[in-house]
This record gives sequence, structure tokens and C-alpha cells, in this order.
Amino acid sequence: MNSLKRAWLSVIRKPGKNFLLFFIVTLLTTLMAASLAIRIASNNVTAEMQNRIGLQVSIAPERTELAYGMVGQHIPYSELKKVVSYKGVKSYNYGISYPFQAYKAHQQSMVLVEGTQNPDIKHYWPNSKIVEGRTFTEQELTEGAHVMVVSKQMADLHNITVGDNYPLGRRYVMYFDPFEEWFDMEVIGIVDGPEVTRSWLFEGDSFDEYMIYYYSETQRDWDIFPIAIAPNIVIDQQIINTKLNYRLVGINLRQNVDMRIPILEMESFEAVKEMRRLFGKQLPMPFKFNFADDQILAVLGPIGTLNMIAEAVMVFTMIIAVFVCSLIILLYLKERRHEIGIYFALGEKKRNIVLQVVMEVWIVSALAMTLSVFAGTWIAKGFSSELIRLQLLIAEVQKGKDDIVNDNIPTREEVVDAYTVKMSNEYILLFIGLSMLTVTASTIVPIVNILKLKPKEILL
Amino acid sequence: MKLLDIKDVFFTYPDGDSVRTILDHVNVTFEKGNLYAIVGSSGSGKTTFLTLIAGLDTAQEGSITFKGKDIAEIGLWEYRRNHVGMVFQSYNLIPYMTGLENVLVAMGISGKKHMKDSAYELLDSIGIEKNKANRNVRRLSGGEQQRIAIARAMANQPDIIVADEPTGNLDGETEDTIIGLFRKLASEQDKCVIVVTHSEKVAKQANVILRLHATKGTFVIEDNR
Repeated sequence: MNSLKRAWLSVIRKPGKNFLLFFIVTLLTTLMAASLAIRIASNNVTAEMQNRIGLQVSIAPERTELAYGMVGQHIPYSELKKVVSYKGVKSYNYGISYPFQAYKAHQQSMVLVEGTQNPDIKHYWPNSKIVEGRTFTEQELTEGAHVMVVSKQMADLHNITVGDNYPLGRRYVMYFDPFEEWFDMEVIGIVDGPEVTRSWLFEGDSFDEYMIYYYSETQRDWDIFPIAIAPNIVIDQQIINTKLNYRLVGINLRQNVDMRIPILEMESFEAVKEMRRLFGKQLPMPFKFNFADDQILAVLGPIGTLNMIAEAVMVFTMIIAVFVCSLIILLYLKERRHEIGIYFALGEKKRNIVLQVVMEVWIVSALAMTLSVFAGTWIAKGFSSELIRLQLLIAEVQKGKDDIVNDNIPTREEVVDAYTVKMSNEYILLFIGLSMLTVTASTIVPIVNILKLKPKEILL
Repeated sequence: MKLLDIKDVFFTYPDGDSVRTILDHVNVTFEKGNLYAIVGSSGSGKTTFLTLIAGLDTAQEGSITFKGKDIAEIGLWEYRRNHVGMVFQSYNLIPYMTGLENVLVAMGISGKKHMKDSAYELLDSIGIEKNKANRNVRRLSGGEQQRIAIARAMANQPDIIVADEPTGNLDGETEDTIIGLFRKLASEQDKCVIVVTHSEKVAKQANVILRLHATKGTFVIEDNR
């Protein structure tokens, strides 16, 4: 009979004596399991949120400036280009939208021109395709050529064909004297993309050409005009010109520029850090960077706190478990001095005696851990989800969610939904590893103690 | 045939501020096929002597050689595992096991193979039937437990069996049976059986009686062969 068989017999033949160890190990490993489950769930939700927010940096004006309407709302494209030229920027999404008048004759006829820096039309209108003409060239985009791609619906509405020079501009009546400026945009392509419907404002028999409400697949339902796309740089320049011209006649134009917050996808978190260092203070007033890592921290702060608490509980429990289990095993082995003495007298190798003791503790612990892994998960599920919900709510109230200028920032409910405690392989393996490590560590002192025993003193 | 040779063995205990000599340069030889009885008054050092020849302790001076080789060289654990079997007054069986399992433990430790059948045979040879062998040892009588202890001592097929007051807890009839078993082991199986006892009745059944002189720490040998 080898030491493993002896260990097994010792456990099954003395259930009463092993119960105390079983009970204590169950209790402590349940705490460990719950802490671990919370930690893993917290880490998972953090990773998920990081993936979701990505390695993003956005550029937006200071909130205070926005609130008081002191400035224009978008960063000049020329400034943005300095930032996006940094090699750590993987890609960026930026568009300035501005409603220009379409016909000189009709003051209210507007076309929303959206800026792009991307020649791929699908970047703007997913699932769209060019039905006539072409898209932009890189040169047109970077140099700011006066070219545009229009929607098929707009082309039909205004009888536009590829190659037309379509006038856009501004007309403003001041003291009955109209002030106006116009510039020609060459239509280079027609795209079948966003669905254009008639506005609810003008629903009726007469088909209007003024307010048209459109839905694209991305549901950008704030755009209420026929759409065209043009290079960002052109729109930017026209906005500046318009502002300057209006100032000449005493009008401070500061509305109607539809800001697209530039969102930069960075190569890595190192690139984010580097950008913070290089460009953090170089943006023109009142613009500032919103770094994804700041935003992740803002959203996941309560999760991080819970994670820290769970880690502290786990470490503390492990230490307590080592002490308490050591004491129990010590007491248990003290009762079995005779048995140990017999093994010594029979010439059993010390390593086999150690193996037997460790195996006994492992068998009892394995049974306890089977119970704990379920109990711990159950406790973690019930306890931490509610706690997270509460903490996120408190954090939102304290901080104010509007501080975060990024549409991708998850809501409290989304974070809570993403926070799921489950019995994953990672969780089970980690739990088994840590628990086994703890109970094995708790056998060290008792084993050292029994190896000091002298069979002569025990048996004779 | 000379099996165990004790030469100039000297052993002392600390006794308060002084030192008490238990064995003072003892010289004894043990041979196969004999039953030896070690007798002496309480505290004379009988059990101490037994622990030395069983390899549970080491002498401060002198040597104990087994088949011409010092047991320290063999290694005390190895010596106990393969060459000595021990029987105790209080049986010292593992209480949560059956008789069979107690024997199997000893067999396993000494590395014996095909153990179960051999264990049954061994137990049967000392009068423990299969149904009793499969019983928890706490449910057996003292005599039966001591038989199992003897079977366990025999499990590693040792040349030497040492027993410390093996009949101390038994009634007269059982005492005779156990000593009979020891005699049989010595005569029929050519074992060297060394029994420490208080009982003159037991001692008289031995081939050789070693009387330990309490104050001198030496033996007086009565050879009855």
C-alpha cells in the first residue's frame, strides 16, 4: 500500500476528523473564489471597455468655452493635420459639416456639405456605391480641390450630373440689402447611398426642395438637408471665408457649424502617451485632447476600486487560510503522532510521509474547493453586480457624465451589462492554482514539525 | 550464525546536572534461529538497548553490525525497512485500517509486490483468518491485535524481530500463544527474535536470557540452548 492509498483511506475512514479542515477550507476558499471571480469579471469588463473605446484620442473644445458659445466649435483642419501627421496615429475620422445655400434664387434651399479626408465613400455612407463618376483623389483631399460627390437623391432633385459646376454659398439679408458670396463646386461623382425622404415639416402634395430629412444606415438623423461630400479642407476654408466676410458687415457668425469631433485611432497606448507628451499643450485654445485612457479611468473607476478590494480580500484570505489551516493540520497531526511514528519505525521514507500528509490535505481541499467554486461564483454574482451598479451611479452623480466628450463612452447600464461573473476556464484554473498553493503552503509548518518527531519517543 | 554483533556499545542519558550511564561498553552477539529475552528491572535500559538494535536510535560509542556491516553504514531507515520487524506492547496498529491493511502498509513500505495474497497467508499463518483480517483493528481483541502486529513485523521478511513487552497487555493464555508464535518464528523460520520482558515466565521460554544489570549497565547472559 503506497502513501497515496494511505492518504485516501485516512480521509474516507475519518470523515469526522477531516470535517473541521473541510469546513474551514470551504469557508476560506469560497471567499477566495468570490474575490477571484470579481477580479476576473472586473478585468474582463475593463478589457472589454478598453477594446470598445479603443486607443482613441478625441479633440474638442473646453466645455466651458462651449457652454458660453465664445468660439467656433471645430478645430481648424490645418491644426488637425499637424496632429494627425504624428506616426502613432493609425487613422482618424473627421468631418466638418456646414449647410450652404444651393440656389442663389431661393434663400432657404440648403445643402449640407460634409467634409471628409477619406476617399472611401463607404467611410461616410456604409453600403453605398458610386453610380456615376468617381470618388476623390488623395491629391484633391490634401490640396482642397473644389469638388464634391452628391447623393443620387440630391442629383435627381436638383438635376445634377457629373461634371456640373454647382454653386454653393451664403446669402444674408441685412437691412433689406442682401449680402452674399458664392463658390462653385464641381460634381465628380453621384452615390446611391443614404435614403432621402421628405421632411415631416413639409409633408403634403407639393414636393418641396427645401427641408429634406434623411436617414442613413448610421442613423445620423441630425442631418436635415440634401447631402454632399467634399474635402474637409475646402469646407474649412469656406467657413473661415464666410466668417470673415460676415464680420466685415458686422455679423459675428458662430452657429450652424456642425462639429465632428476628430477621433484619432492610435497605434498603441505608448503612442497615446507620446501624443500626450508631444502635443498635449500645442493645440490652439480652446481645444484639448480627450485621451481614451483618461476616459476609461473615469468610467471604470468604480470597477477598479472593486477590483482592488477584491484583490485585498483575496490576499488577506490566503494569508488567513495559511495560518488557520496550518493550525488545524498541526492539531490533526498531533493526534496522529503514533501513526507517523509507526511509519518511521517501519522505515518509510520521509518524502512518502510528507506526500501522504499533503495528499490528505489536497483531497479534503479538493472536495471543499468544488463546493467553493460554485458558492464563490454565486456570492460574487449576487454581491458585486449590485455594488458596481451603485458605485457607478455614485461616480456619475459625483463627476457628471457630460465631462466625457466621446460618443463611445459606455453608459452605466452598459458597464453593468458587460460585467458578468461566470465560471470560465481561466477562473477555475486560477482558483484551483491559488487554493492549492494556499493549502499546500499551510502544510509546511506541520510537516516540518512531524519530521522532527523521534519514533523512539512516540512508540516506546 | 552470527547475525547481529554488539560491540562496546556505550549509552548515557542526561539526568539533571549529571549523566546516567545506561549501557557501559556492552558486548553481545545475536544469532539466527534463537529467541532472546532481555530482562531487567524498570529503568535498567532494556528498551534503550532494544531501540539501538532496532535502529531507532544510535549509541554514543561502539558499533552494531548486521551481517558484518555497521547498521549506520546500511542506514537506519534502510535497516528498519528491510532487516528488522518491530512489535510493541501497545500494538501500535494504525487504528483506522483493517488488520490486512496494517500488514499491507508494512509490505508497501518495504517494496514488496503482489502483496494482498501474501498478507492473507501471513495473517493465516499466525492464526488470523480472512474475515478477521478484513475487520477494523479496533474491533479485534488484544491478542488478535498483537498477532496482527507480529504479522506486520514479519511483512518485510526480516532476519530480526524485536519486541518490547509484547505480552504486557495480554492475559496469561494469550501470552503463551504469542510467545509460542515467537518461538516458532525462531525455530521454524530461522529468525532472530529479541524480546524485552518483565516476565520470568516469558524469559524462561527463550533460548538465551540477557539480564541487564541496572547499576553496572552490562549484561549477564544465561544460555539455555
